[in-house]
Amino acid sequence: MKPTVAIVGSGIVGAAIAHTLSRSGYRVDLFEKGPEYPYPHAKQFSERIQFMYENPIYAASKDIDAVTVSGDYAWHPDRERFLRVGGSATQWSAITLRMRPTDFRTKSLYGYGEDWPLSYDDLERYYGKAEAHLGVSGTDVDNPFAPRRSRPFPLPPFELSYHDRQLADILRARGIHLHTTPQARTRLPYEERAGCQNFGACQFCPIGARYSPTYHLLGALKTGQCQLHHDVSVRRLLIDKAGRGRAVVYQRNDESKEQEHPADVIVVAAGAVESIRLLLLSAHGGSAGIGSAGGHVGRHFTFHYLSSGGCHYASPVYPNRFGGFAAQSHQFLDHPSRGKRGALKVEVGTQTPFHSGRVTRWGSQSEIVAQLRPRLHWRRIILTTESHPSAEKYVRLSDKRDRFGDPYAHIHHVATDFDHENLRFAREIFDLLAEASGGDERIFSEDIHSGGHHMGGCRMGRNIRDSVVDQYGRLHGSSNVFVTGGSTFVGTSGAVNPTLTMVALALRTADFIGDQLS
Amino acid sequence: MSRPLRRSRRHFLQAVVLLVGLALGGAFAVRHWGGILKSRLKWALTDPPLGDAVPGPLPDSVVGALVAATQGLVDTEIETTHYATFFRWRAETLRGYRALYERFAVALDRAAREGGAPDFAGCGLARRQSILRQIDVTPAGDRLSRIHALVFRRDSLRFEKYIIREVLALFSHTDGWVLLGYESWPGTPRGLESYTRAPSRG
Repeated sequence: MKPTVAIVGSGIVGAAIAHTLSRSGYRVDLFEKGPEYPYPHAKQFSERIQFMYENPIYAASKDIDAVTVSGDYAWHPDRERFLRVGGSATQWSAITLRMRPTDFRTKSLYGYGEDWPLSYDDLERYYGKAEAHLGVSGTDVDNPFAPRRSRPFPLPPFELSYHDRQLADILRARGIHLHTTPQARTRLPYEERAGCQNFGACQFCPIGARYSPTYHLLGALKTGQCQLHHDVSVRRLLIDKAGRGRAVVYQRNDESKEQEHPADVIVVAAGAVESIRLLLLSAHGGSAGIGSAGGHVGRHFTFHYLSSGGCHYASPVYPNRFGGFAAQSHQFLDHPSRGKRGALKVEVGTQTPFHSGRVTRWGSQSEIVAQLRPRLHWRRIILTTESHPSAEKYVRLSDKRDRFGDPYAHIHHVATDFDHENLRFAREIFDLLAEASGGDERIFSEDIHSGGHHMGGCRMGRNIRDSVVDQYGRLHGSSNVFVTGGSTFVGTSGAVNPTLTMVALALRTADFIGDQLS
Repeated sequence: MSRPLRRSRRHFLQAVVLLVGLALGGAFAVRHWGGILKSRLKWALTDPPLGDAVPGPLPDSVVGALVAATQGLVDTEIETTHYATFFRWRAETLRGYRALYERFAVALDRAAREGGAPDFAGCGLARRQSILRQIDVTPAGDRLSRIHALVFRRDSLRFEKYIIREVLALFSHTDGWVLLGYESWPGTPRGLESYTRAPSRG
């Protein structure tokens, strides 16, 4: 009989591993705390976009889906994740960027953070596999800052919008380069997915053009080798004295009795915060949790900082004609002052900023047009800045408990001087872009958030003294327990969106597990 | 001192202690939870709940009144199918909406008949807007009508929140774009060519 694999979490990482291993004939059981989430997301699209209704059945109950927070982070991380079948990437922006080679070596090159135990070259092949897995549309032809690649993008890029091209021309004259954005949206039909039709409500793409992990979950289920257990909470892992994972202990959310599910391999892929929490809950030989002999579980936990500004122009810029992400600049990812400041990424938003131009009072047509018209003149600019770990950023178990009596995760976060310097840099670049593009009014939001980019806490490294897992995600001291996803990141993936790297690492881990098991 | 007098004094002292305790407790509560209490009270007065009447299909006449109201609210040539679909879906899916829509239609039709029309949908645009003005409590700065509505016309507050505001929100993210010159609105399949060209109706 083929070996069995238990995966905790059915998000983009768990789905990738389940899909790979089940197609190789391994018996896979996926455990998902949240509820079912139909695919393609046509029903969700209708409810949210056509009927303006947020259906509560797609959200996990608050007494199993919560975190507590301390420090200076103003947003609540609960708002940044979705516990459901398919996880947070059922509703993601689908920007799929490769980290730059320098992002893996920030300590050596710039003197901050830590170096990863693997290089860009080690991961390059899996970046290609991840792009093929997600159906990424893109090109490097217009992006002089893109890292080298050994194979082309699987799909052609989404072109810049008419007004983004105009903006690109203006900025080029000032030495700022805009280019297209690689994204997991199908520019053309791909595998069993339809080509994008530009519905523009991408968070709930009704046709599956924007990638959703449920696509590969269904593929895994079709093999007959994979079983999905939703509305089930994994409460801890059972590890024997030799460090070998024996089983996951789970409980249906509506039942009072817990059960054991034995497995030959256990993969924790529950999102950064819940993965850390599960290791801590699975205390093994002490209260600090599995894998924490070196004291690293929960430490080195970081966020990106996303800040956004709105820029007003005298002439209309017609936002929202394209639903995906068109223009970005990677010019500041490796800027000359990196070291003093971290990496910075610029996105030119296609959406209307800050809810401008909504009708709130009824009246004559001219009064209504007057309320709507501002939306034509505003352009949103989003800036993502790098961060790095510090002693004031960590996840531990909370004093509050869920319905089963297990402590929630507690996130503590205090921004460092480096972070504040990066935010000043973001403001500086925003002002530069606004001024260069002829904006006559600008708003810079102080409402800074992570964009759902939660990283670290189970970071990878060379040994138990500096990390929780090795470069394949295998828990130090264990032969068959793996942790995958953003929690294993060493830093914040520079300033690029972390998901493509998460999927590349997941596919690499899946191959490693497959090789081991065979 | 006689026994009854002592007893009544004891009762008096007990009452004083009780009152002082209540006053201190009240002051503490106001100090610590005053904001919450005030907002809850305000919410209860100014934001009456939708109610939990069972969902169900809407009669065509009610949908007709709602669509006619929509046209009056936005004063724009619109294709009304998606508004009708919106009203029907909410009435059939969400508690409270069917009953509210029906009461709204009754109020509109009653006002229309008082003006000599057979029903609201049969009125011209100007008359519809006049009737909506009687029913709606939105007009900015009209505090008096809002207070009047709080006391005597609590359904008006529901009409405002659950019908008028929702119609304006739906209009904002659909026909509002077309009114500004877009060929179609986000949420419809717009293809991957037109966004790369200059807007045709700018």
